[in-house]
Amino acid sequence: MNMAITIRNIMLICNRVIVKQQTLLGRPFMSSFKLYENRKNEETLEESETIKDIDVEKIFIQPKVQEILKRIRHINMDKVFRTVTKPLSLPRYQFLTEEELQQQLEEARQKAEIKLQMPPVLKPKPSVTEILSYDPELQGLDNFKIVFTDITYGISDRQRLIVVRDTDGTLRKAKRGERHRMNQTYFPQNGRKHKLPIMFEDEHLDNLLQREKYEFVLDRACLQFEPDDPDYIKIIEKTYQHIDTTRSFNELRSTRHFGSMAFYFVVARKMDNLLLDMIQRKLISDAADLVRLYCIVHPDSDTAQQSVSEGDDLGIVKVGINKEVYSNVRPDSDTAQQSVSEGDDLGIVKIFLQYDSRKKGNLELALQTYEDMQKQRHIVEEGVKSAHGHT
Amino acid sequence: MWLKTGLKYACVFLVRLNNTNNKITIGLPSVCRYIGNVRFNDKTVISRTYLSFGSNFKSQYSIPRLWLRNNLIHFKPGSSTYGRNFGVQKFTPVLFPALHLQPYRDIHTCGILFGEEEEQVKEGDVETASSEDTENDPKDRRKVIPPETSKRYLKSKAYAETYGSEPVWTRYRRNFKGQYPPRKTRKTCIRSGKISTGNPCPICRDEYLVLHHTNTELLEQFVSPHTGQVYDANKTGLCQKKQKELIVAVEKAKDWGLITFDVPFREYDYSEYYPDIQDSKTA
Repeated sequence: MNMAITIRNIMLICNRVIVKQQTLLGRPFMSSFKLYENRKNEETLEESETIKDIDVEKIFIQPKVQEILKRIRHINMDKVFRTVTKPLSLPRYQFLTEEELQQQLEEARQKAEIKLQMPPVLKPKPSVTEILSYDPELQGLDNFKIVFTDITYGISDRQRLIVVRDTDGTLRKAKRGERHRMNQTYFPQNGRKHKLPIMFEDEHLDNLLQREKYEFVLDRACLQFEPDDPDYIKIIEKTYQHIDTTRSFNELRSTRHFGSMAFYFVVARKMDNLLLDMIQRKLISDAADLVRLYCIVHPDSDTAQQSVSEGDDLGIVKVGINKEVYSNVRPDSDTAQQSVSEGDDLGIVKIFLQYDSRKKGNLELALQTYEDMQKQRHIVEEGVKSAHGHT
Repeated sequence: MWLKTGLKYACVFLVRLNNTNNKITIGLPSVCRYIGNVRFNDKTVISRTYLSFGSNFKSQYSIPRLWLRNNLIHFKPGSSTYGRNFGVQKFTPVLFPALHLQPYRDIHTCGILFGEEEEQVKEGDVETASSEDTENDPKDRRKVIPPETSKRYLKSKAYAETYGSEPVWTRYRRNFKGQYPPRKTRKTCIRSGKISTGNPCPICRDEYLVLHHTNTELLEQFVSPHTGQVYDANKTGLCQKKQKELIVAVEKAKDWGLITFDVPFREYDYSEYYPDIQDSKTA
């Protein structure tokens, strides 16, 4: 009854939806798009189940997790502010002092943070309708459904009230597809389409992924779907898996999707390739951050247990450091400071390798290569220093 | 065709009968071939003018069957005898040299004079009279070219020679009176299946440029790399019909994911999705 009162007080527009012809532009809206129904791939089924077990929403939003994800994502200003297609305008030249320049750079960093906002990671929410009232007296009145949309200014798309009067007289809240259509009709978003773009269908999506257009697919998926749409989650999972198989993680580094992708891999326990990529690019702190994230997401895993038992909080562990590297180092030199923290990072990565990794061989090899290189670099540095006279 | 002996002059014609309209078409390359197979005396001169005459003959003259029946020579392909008995002394490049021949009454003509050997002739040279007039018309555009052919054409040498590496519309100039071109380009270049203008637009003038959503190499020539928008018809010179087709093809290609573009940014309000947090933009 409260619902009825609110409906009366606000401006309404009715839409007719003819029951039999549920097609839009000759193409059944979303009915040929059966991503959610065709769950034949067992692998994805397994991951979806693990995701279901873990409350991704609660974990994702924790400040610590967000910090980690932002750190490993990095900000490459050239990539974030690369030239994009936009209406032509004349360039602007400014003369700035040193302070003003720093100020502008700071502002640019803040703008970059906004641009690199991570799309929310949510659990897939099936389209469940709530029945508001049964009015069987109304059945047979019309042969079409009527959709009532509240178009009051200032309400977000998710909270907007959209109800449907079925032909049998039931008044219910609109399903996901109906909500999308109505929101797009009255509050069209630039780039979002009424009908699902054909590129999200399986074969066309495969084509795009083969051409490695990951950022394009993810951006467009963000724009087209709601984050808790099962179809959206299926698309981005498919994209992440393809990135995993082609090892092209660097494509997403310094974009908004890297954090969500890393989070997905950690939750699905498929982070080995990503870890390998980080080690190969000498991003040991990133690798350690990823392992720490793993410990947060799976607190009952062996890695988490081990790192806790070594005495510190989930962050710092002093285990398994290559003593030859650090034995002759001065404690107050920069190299020492770095290597101590690096030692912690290396340590935690090694714990992960020992207990929970699925690609132990490759990762160990990569780590060994890294350590050897560091050793060589250290020797050279020492040599250079002694040559210059600083013992 | 079989050779009749005792002729002084002869002309070599290969003839196909069109049973539907009783017309006979004469083709050239087979003629050259048969001339090649025939041995002539040293005094024989087959002048070039004959050949050019023959090519003129090809598409424009369809000789009535009745006339030719009286003046026909037949050759048997592959026959070793036709060199010996064939005494061609001189050819006069006259339009209907068969006039010099003695008429034969018992000449047989049949619809399959050429048989399989004729099939080895390059296609398009020996054609029936009805299709020749229209399909060889350079302004005819009724033939539908598939997009795959267009894609191959864009990678071909012929395309590279014609257009180089520039977009296809760069070298085109509209014709109009005065300084300023009309606001709109013409409605269409092709009417009733034929080009109806002397200066067709860049797409209409080249039949192998097909606007199709899969033909991304062509479509991207009409999209600005800076603004991401399709160029105006005033800039490219396309007729209105082709401009509409182009816009549709580009939209479709973007929908299919064949052309990528910079997607508008979507900013999320985290408080909608995570009701517990305080800050809306970040966690």
